[in-house]
Amino acid sequence: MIKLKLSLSIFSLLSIGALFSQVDFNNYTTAKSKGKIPVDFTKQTYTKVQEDIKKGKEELNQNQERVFFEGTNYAIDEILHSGLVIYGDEMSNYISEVADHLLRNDSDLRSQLRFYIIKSNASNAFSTDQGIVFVTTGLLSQLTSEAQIAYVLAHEISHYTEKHVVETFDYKTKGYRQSDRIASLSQYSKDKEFEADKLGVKLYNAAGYSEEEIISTFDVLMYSYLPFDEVVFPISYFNKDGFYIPTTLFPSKKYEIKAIEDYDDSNSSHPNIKKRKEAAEIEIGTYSNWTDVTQRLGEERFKEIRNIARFESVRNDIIDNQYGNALYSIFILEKDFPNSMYLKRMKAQTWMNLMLYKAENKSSQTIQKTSELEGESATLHFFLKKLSKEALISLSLRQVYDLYKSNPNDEEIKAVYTKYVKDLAGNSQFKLEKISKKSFNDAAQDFVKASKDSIKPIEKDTVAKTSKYDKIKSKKNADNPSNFDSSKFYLYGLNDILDDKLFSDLYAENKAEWDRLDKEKEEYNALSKKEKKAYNKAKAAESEKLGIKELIVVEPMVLSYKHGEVDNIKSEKLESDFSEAIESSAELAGIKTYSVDSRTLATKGTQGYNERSILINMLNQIAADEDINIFPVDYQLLKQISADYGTSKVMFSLVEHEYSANISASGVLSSVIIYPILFIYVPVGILSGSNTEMNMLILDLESGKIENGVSYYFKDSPKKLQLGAHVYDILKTMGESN
Amino acid sequence: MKTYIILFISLFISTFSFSQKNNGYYGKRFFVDLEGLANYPLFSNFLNEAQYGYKADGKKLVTKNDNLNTGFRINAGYAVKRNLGLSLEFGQDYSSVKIDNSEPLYIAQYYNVYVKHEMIDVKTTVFIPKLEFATSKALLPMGLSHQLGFGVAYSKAVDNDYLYQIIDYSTGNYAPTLYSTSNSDVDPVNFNKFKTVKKFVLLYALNMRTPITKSLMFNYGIKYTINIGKTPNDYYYSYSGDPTLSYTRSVENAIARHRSLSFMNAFVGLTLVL
Repeated sequence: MIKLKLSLSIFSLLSIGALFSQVDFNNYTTAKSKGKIPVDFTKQTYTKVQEDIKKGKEELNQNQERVFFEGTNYAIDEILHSGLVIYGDEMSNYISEVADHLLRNDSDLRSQLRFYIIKSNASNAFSTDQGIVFVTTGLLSQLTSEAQIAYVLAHEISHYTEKHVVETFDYKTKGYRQSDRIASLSQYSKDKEFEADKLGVKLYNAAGYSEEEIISTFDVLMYSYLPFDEVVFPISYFNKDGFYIPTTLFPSKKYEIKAIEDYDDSNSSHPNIKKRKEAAEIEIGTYSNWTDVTQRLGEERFKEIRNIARFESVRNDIIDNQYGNALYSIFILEKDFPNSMYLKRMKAQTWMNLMLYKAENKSSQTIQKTSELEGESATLHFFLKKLSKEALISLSLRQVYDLYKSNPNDEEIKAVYTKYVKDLAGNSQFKLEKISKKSFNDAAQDFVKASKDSIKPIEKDTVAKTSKYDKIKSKKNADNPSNFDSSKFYLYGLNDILDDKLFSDLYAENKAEWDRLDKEKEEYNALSKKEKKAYNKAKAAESEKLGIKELIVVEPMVLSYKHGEVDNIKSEKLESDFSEAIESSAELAGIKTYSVDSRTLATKGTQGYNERSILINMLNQIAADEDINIFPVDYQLLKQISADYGTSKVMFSLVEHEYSANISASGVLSSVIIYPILFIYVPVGILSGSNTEMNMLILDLESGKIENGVSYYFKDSPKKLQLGAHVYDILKTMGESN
Repeated sequence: MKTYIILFISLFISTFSFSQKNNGYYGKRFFVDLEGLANYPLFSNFLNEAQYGYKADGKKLVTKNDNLNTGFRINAGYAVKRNLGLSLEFGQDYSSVKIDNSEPLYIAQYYNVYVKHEMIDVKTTVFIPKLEFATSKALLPMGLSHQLGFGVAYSKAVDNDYLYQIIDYSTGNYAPTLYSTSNSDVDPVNFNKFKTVKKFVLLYALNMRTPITKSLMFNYGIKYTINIGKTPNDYYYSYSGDPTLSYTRSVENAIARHRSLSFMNAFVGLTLVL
């Protein structure tokens, strides 16, 4: 018997060991879904709604059932298909195992639940009536123990078992936007929250975790709006060799953390933390069998999961253009992972993107507002906010250049560097000739020396020989010792970059191209209106011909509106038609297409799902600002997709349709007065009521550049053949070469 | 998230210009419409000088309005641009006209009588060159289009076997005999001397072509026409030895009026795209 137990223990250890493979954070790539794709991701929403309606819900009448199942399923599927959800990865497996333990005595309930991760920096977890529990990477990155995860899951499982979604669902059918439906999935009344807390404690206690971790979970939730750690940001962080940042650019005070437990919760769906803690403490007191277990699956594994979540938070911030947060997270993580290529790549991307946003006067979007500055990260945000355009460009150049020089063989960093230099060359705020050939220290020393020398009288001949223009030039020259100004610190410490011939050549090459474009622009501006029109037409015709022979088609979207609101069921059906239309028309136009579509996931499986997620994430990132040509965060994965499909061209498409007869009461009245007009007015109004807009974007995966965009507006319904005809028209032209 | 992307795609694309290159409907630009058309001659029925229309019901004449005019069109066209097409419409309309029974008929043996005549069938042949246009990013021939045309319409009475009845002017009574144009001594309408009524036609049509396959479309819409041209016999014809000529001319006038008052047709058909 003892032998058998020992064997089982060894087997269990081996099993855990096989499941728990250590993550190589030095060569980390973003978390991807693994294993068999769950049905939640492959089944069409309409089918889910029909199946749920068939099963019914006792507490709802027929109309409420329809509204509820339609509302929840479409909202959940929007999350599932957002490109942010992952399954079967280390994090999902981990929380599933914690849930296994929580529900080890209720296999029936366990079998009803699925646990997925959302790549989002919002700290959140929520369950749905369909039995899906979502946990964000933001929440995982903040937690300090497995027990805290267990309590969060116990709370969410209680929402599910108590059917809180059904009870709090808003059954109104009008004026409800999809985004409201999604938000409402994690919003219950305060009573429901207290009930879930209470039942959560019961489930948590039964699983044998430590009581102390419950209260600390509430602390985690309260401070989860802050970065995942509070580490002092040293003001010397950016000083390197000859590059120096004046301390005046950093805040002279600490920014206190403002969160309090007893905040006013009258407008909040959740009770405040103080009330929740008090209620939880009462509930905790009703149990006496508490343990001190905080980590059942091991602390090492917990930390690894949390680190994955923290690594993901950097990527999430870059996608959301929150570069101040991204740099602070990198700063914290690089202490433990100084050799992580992932962090270096993310850092290079962040600096480049910051430079692009600053150039467009949009950097305030990427850094916290002054009113939001709190805690240790405030130092970095404050500094980034204080930097002038010129200073930020110099600092970003310093950072990107250093990352490239120390990792010259890294393809991604090289690509960032190459794009950076290209964008830098086109940046009118940056003048290479203004940059000093000295380090900050050398310039400062020369200045001191020159100051001493200036006490000596200047010889008359020297003054006479210097022309007015030489004097002006001399005043503008940063290398002139007497011109040294420490507030223009950004002109110094880039001397090694200036001396780098490869940099100079790359810069000059790109500058020449920008100059050529500027000249072309000037010539265009000199054209007459008629000439401009002809030029635009010719240019448009030229730009439409992309010579595409193969194309990755990402899930075409359709929005069909009815009375101003999206008709989800009709939209889903039309999406299927649109997808088929693209495939058929592309073939006719001689273009081979590869569909990356949620409708084909049942056959394409997890690989197809991951590809789709990466591509959707890319669009999300680009969509943040159409003026800025951002570097794609998943550069390497996109390159891989490009290599796998044999093309880097990807198409995103959208159709919007609404039927609204163009007939008004005043129009009818007027046409009745002018009698014969009625016979024209009414039919024209009816026949021209169908409004369809079809948009298509072609992107290049490797550069992240938008190659072309076409928008069609037509007075017809969005049926397969109609859409197909327009798609054919677009693709036929795109298939042609100039 | 989805809304975010949607907004982006919509907004971003508006920054691109559009070359208007025309690749046709699935690569095809020639099209032939085959249409059947019908109308209820509302205005013609109510504004025609003749108060009543008559139709043969067995061997008697009964009062009846002209309820349905029909026709067909064959239209061959070419999409010059994605929103501009040229076409030529050919077709025939089939209608009936009411004859004013107050028109005197000078027949030798009766001298001066009125005729209650069955409505006369009219066949109109039209030729209309057309210009077809749509919104800038349309893809003709598919979808909603507006057509403008200017052509000619030739209308002629059809020489069928009609029934008519003679009213004695002096007594105001109907003669008991019911005549048929095929076996009567005197046919009130002289088809041999009938002049073709010519009208110029100004056309506007609202046309919707909905694809059924990649080379076939369902076609429907409304045609509005204005028939221009003077009434051919704008005077009373006095007796000139030919007792039927006056009546024939009044029929020509009735046809002309009928054309002028017919200005709307609904149509359905098929479009072949070649």
